[in-house]
Amino acid sequence: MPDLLLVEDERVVREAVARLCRAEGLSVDEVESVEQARGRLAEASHRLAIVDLMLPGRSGFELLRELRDAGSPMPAVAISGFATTANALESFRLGAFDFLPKPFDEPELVGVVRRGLRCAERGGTGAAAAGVAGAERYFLGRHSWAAPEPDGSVLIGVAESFPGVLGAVTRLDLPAANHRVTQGQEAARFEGPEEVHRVWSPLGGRTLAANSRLAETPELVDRSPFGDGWLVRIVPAALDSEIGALTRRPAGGG
Amino acid sequence: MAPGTSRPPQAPGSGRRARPARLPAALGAARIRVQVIVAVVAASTLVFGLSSYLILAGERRALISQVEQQAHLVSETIKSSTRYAMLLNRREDVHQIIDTIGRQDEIDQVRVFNKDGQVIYSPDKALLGSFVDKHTEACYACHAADRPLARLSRPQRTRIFGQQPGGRRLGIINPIYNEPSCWQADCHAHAESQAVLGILDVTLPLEPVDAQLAVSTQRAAVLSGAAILAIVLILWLFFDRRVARPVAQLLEATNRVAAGELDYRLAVRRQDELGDLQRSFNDMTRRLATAQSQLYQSDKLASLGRLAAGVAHEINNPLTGVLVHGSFLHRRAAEGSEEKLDLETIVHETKRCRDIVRGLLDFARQAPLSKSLVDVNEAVERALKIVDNQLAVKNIRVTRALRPDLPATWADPNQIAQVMINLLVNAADAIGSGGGEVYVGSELVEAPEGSTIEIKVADSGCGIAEQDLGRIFDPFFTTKEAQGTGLGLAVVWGIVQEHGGTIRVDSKPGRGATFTLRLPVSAQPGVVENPPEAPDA
Repeated sequence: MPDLLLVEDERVVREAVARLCRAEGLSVDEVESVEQARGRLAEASHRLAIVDLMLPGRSGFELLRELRDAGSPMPAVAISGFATTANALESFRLGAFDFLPKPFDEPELVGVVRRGLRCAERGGTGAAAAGVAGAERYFLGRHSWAAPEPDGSVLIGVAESFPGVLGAVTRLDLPAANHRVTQGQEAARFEGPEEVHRVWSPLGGRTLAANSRLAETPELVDRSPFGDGWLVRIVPAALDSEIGALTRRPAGGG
Repeated sequence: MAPGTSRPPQAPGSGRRARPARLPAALGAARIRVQVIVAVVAASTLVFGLSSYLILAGERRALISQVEQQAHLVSETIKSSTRYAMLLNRREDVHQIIDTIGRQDEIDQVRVFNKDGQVIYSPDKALLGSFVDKHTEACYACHAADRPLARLSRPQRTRIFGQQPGGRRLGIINPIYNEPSCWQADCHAHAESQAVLGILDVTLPLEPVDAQLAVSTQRAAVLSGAAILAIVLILWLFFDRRVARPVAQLLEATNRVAAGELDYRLAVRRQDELGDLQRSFNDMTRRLATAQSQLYQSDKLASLGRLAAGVAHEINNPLTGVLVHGSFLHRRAAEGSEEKLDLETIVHETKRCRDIVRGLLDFARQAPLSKSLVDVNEAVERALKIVDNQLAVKNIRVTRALRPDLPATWADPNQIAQVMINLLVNAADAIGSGGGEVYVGSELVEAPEGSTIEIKVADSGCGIAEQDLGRIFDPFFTTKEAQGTGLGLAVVWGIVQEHGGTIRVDSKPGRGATFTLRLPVSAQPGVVENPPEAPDA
């Protein structure tokens, strides 16, 4: 069975992505439209899908929705040349594993693909949520979370699609204090020798502080992604209007 | 086009009542100058005509009374000169005296009638013995009634008769009353019962008077005409200089402004109402220009948002190809090789393109406003706190002059803080590493149309060249070369606009810059609506 289903109408992007993936030793099914993708999916099962959002005819969102509704365990990565916050939020809402704005370079693509494959191998992304105490959380898909604190600040951390599947991390980039973060834009990044993993912020605001403990023990992200492994504390800019795009999970939930 | 032809002819019985006749239609269509002059000419003609008439009438009365006096004098002279001869009944002597006096040039005619109307003495011998009808002008004064009057007052004795020109005469009759000496005289010509013995009638020509009046009338007419002409001339010139010219200039200015020349200004050199109008016109044009430039800027931002959305998608696909292939080859190129370096450049520059496009998209997708009642000073303080470090590192001293009792206003506190941060960072960049000063002030500006909060951020930095002032808020305009994205001030501009405020910059190269930001004070939400977001996919 092929490893990847690549749905992309732009030849240059399709060929570039396919080339990289093949260099990773993966087999790639290349299709140009949602209809073709349905045909391939009916014939074979894939380990990972890469879906462009803007396709001729039916959009990539439709494919994401169909996959979610069908309960497919296959992680689907949305890619888009029009990487607005709205598109990112919609992709995660429709169950996308991750969102990759164009243009991307090799480490960014490889990072997402490998992490997705590791997740798939692990058997889905629902592993790490156990043992979460305290606050209720708002999730950007299975990608990141936000937890409002009593003092009005909000903690931000990574959700199930990161812990245990990040690979080798040599560097963790967290925003400095007073840095502006935007909903759906990069809030943190994990860098390895061959991979880059970016964390899209569930909420916008101004950073108060990054989690200093992560500098010494980055494994906290793997061990306790919903607890001590939080990434950054922010003062939300528009909590009321932005939080509606997130999925609420009650306290202690998983 | 002839005045009036533009009016449609009214159908008879159309039911619309014709308006009462106004000034002639031609006057309504005429220039103001002509209208005013016509009115002034009419008024002055009336005034001059009336005063000339009154003056001439007075002069006429005075002259006639002079002639009347003269006639009276002549009449009395004849009467007293002939008295003695009459008493003696020496008719030759009476003839002699009357002839002598009556032949003077100034005297038209001297006649003496007896009570039967027969002319008994006159220098004109042809008249002697002729009868005068009692209804002629000389007799009418007494014989108007059935019974002749015995006594007459002087005006009643005077009469003016004859036709102009040259033929008018003034006559005065002098009744010769019966006296004791008359009926006691030796001749016994008159009985005692007779009241009036006869009438002495002296007529003088009025020609000199009429001639003088004609001269006076003519002179009055000429003077009045000249005066009216002078008034018209003065008015004409006055209007030309004081009204027509400024009005024409205003008209010209209006046309130019209408044609889009919004920097056109009138020279105001007057203090009167037209000066006020000019000032008001300039003020209007200035406001119009400001409004238009803000509209233009908004329009530009909106267009940019749409453009960004389109361009981002179009450009990101080819950039993906370049970046993926470039990074792919770069990682596999031999360490230290020339190819590796070239590919590194490709990857690096492509990422720069990506950042630019992302900046464009960020800009097109400014966060929606989240408004609440905000203490602007607090937002300013928050911004200052955030950039405090950055300013301290650059050795920049901050002076604050925040007015303590500013009213809270409906705004997005984060966006206001964002505006302040961008302005402060901009100030810090303008100052550079050499150190300098930044002034931050807030003030309440109260005006009848609504109060505004004014925030000033002034720096001692390098200033802005005049040609750059107009573009400083344009997206991607930067003077910081590679350092800046050129979006900071555009973002400021956008946020201020979304709050219904204004921002202005004053600067001279080398002498720093002052950004003046004004936000309307509103205690209620909904005054400024959120603009629609940039279109999404």
